[in-house]
Amino acid sequence: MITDLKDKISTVQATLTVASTIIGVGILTLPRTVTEAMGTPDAWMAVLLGGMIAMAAGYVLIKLNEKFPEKTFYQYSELIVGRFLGRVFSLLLILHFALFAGFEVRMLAELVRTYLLHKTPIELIVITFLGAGIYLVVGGVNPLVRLLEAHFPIIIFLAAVIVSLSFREVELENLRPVLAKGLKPLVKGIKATTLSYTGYESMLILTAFMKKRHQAVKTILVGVGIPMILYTVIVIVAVGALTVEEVKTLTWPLATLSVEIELPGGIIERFEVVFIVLWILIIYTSFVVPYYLSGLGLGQIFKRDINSFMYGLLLVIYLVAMVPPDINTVFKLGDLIGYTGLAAGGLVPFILLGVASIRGINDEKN
Amino acid sequence: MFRWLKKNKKEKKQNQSINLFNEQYIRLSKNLNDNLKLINKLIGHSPDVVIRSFKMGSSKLEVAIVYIDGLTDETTINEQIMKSVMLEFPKIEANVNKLAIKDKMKETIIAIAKTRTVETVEDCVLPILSGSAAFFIDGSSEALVLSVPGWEKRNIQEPSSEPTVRGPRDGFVETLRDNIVHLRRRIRDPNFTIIEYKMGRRSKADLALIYIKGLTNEDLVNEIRRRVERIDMDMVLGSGYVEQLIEDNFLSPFPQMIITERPDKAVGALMDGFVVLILDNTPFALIVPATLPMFIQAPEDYYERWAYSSLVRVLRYFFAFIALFLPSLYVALVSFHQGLIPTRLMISIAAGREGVPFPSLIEAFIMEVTLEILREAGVRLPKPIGQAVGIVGGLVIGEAAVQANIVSPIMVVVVALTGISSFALPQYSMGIAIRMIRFVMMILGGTLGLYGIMLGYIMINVHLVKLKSFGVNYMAPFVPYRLKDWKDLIIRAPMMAMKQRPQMIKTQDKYRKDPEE
Repeated sequence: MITDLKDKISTVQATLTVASTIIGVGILTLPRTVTEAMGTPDAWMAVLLGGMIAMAAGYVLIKLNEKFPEKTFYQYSELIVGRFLGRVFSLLLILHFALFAGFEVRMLAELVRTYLLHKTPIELIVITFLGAGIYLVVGGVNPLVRLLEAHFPIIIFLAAVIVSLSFREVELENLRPVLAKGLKPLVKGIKATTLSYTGYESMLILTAFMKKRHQAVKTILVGVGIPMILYTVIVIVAVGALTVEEVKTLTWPLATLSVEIELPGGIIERFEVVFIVLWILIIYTSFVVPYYLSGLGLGQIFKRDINSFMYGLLLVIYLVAMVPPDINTVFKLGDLIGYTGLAAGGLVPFILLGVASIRGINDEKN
Repeated sequence: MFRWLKKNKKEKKQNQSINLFNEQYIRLSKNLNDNLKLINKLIGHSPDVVIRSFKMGSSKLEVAIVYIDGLTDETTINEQIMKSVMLEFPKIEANVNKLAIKDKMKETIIAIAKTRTVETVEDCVLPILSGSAAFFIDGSSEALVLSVPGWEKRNIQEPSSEPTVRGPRDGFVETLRDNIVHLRRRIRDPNFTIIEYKMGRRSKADLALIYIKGLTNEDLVNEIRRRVERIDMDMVLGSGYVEQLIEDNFLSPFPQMIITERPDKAVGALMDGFVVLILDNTPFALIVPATLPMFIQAPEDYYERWAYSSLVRVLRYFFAFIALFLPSLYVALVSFHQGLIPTRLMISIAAGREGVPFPSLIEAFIMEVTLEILREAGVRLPKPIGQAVGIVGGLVIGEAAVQANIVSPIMVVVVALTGISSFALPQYSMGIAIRMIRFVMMILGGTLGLYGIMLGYIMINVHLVKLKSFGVNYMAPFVPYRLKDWKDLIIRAPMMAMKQRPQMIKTQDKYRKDPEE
């Protein structure tokens, strides 16, 4: 099983893969990162616009994929710009995915340490989570997307609970004035959202697995659209309930938001812990997809069994997760991933599409 | 996965010289005495084998009958065979051709409906061992096999492992033919199809593979046939043997087919496009393939009205959740996340735990193991004593353990609730799986708190999405999403809404009723 492109996934599965790769730990810090960059209550506009930009970038990479319907990015990049440069681009994408997976694991470990297990060594949390990851990714793409399907309703459920229970706290006054300082902060804000939308570039590979490839554009629009709506609502609720000044200072604004929530009847105290616990499932989904895609990439470039690369990547992801000494460095790593995502998922496909169109390369000619 | 089975196959080739009947393909000879000697050599060493030779009426023609005492109905043999042959034969014209006599016998003398003419020794010996009588005529190289089964069998009773309040009271018994009758009486469809196999090199038990031709997915039937044909064992005693030899993943704790004693459940499955396997000598039929939600469903869901059935089903999912997670959640909350428990409840828990010397994980283990001991003891003992054990164990030990400060009272509540919930699931085999995983979850909850429980939940989920039962995803129709099947998943939609058979097993006939209606 070198490429295992025989496995096919449905349009719904591909859409959910994109959405659940994007929705991960980013949403927990998004209200802070955006308001920090902007300093105005218009953060939700930046989130909305950031999503549209991600959709546009996604559209470009789908157009690129359409030239090589049977192949993944790792396979066709060599055809467009030659063996060396193609491999560099592929390795950039693989590196990006590995960093992404490591980042998700580390953020999970930080969350668990903050909210659940204060004394447990972080290594243990990271290793156990990696163990749960390898168990899934060695099964191939089909169990992977089925697991995403199984976990996806939890996103909707949790978002619905948080939004509906904290909506009464929202005060419109906190969201005004609109665009008081002009458009300049908006540009900064959009830049700050890039990390949150990282994950759409998984479509560079996923299209090759799709049963109905002509629906790929729909897939990426809906796949980015779900997080876009979710993010916008969450940012509106967070800023509206907590005010810009407070959101800016919170490490985990979404968790703080859910502190305010009291479940009727007082069954559970401290709802934010319940929220974090259930969100582990969502972090897991946005960790396994990049993990699988990076292993698949190594397998396809070096034409070996992908599962041995999966085991090798465990060490890489472990190191990525363990290298940052403190949480601020972890957030810096997050910014870096935003940029590698922009490079690997935005710039490179754009260049490749240009080169391929000019040179007139597509799958039929090769 | 079936590597070890393949290995078995290799060994089979080497062992081919070990044969049960060395003479199996020898044809019967024309000489009666030779045939009887051969039969005698093969099976005559046991005292219950009856070999009786006699003369046909007043003629000189030698005939013989061979059967096993107890397996056959002696009255039928005496009245319908011996008496007819000895007394009726002289009434027929005397000068019949010796070769034609055999046919004459079937037509005019032997009053048995199910007869068969055989030519080899094997075809002759196996029916004798299964409860037929063989009739030999001197001068004929063929024998008549007469079906005269007459062994003692259990009467039809209410299925003790799956009783229902509203639903038929008849259950499967140990006789294959009777069990198939149960199904036939409920399905008068000419497409009702049975394929029979002989299971086990020495036991030669009959296994019936039943499906509805033109409705069931042919690929599924072929896959099951392929796996059943590959079974190689010297004996196949119960349907559990078949289950373990054809299931997809023998390492999984989850059962991969439904086991039922209820004919109505088997018929429901057949009509939905599933395949039913029934083995002789066991009252448990297998329904294949099976997916996780099927273990939460009970036949009564369809007999009661839909709203009530839906409610009960939702409750069952809740029971499954309690049975799987409650002790581990309790342990995790008490030992790691006391802040999550409402303050007043936490105070009473702490008060109950005061004086208990063990950490809550050990406490939970003590109680859970006690529960398992009580359950196992109750199952193995005779019924009246079993009940006594339940009372002594449940009341006395529970109460005394709390008094002695070995466990806290709330732990007794948790364990009792967990135990009852796991027995409230309609499929016993799923209860077993959940009980096993519960212990793992308790360890995870006791060491890594809620994070450990989520980790365990993720691992279970990963295992479930990887698992397949005969090519059908074990989590279907939850994932992959098959929204049309969700009508009969967590809720049970009203009867008229259930137009389609389950999509997940890709039946040939997709509709239960006219889809245009």
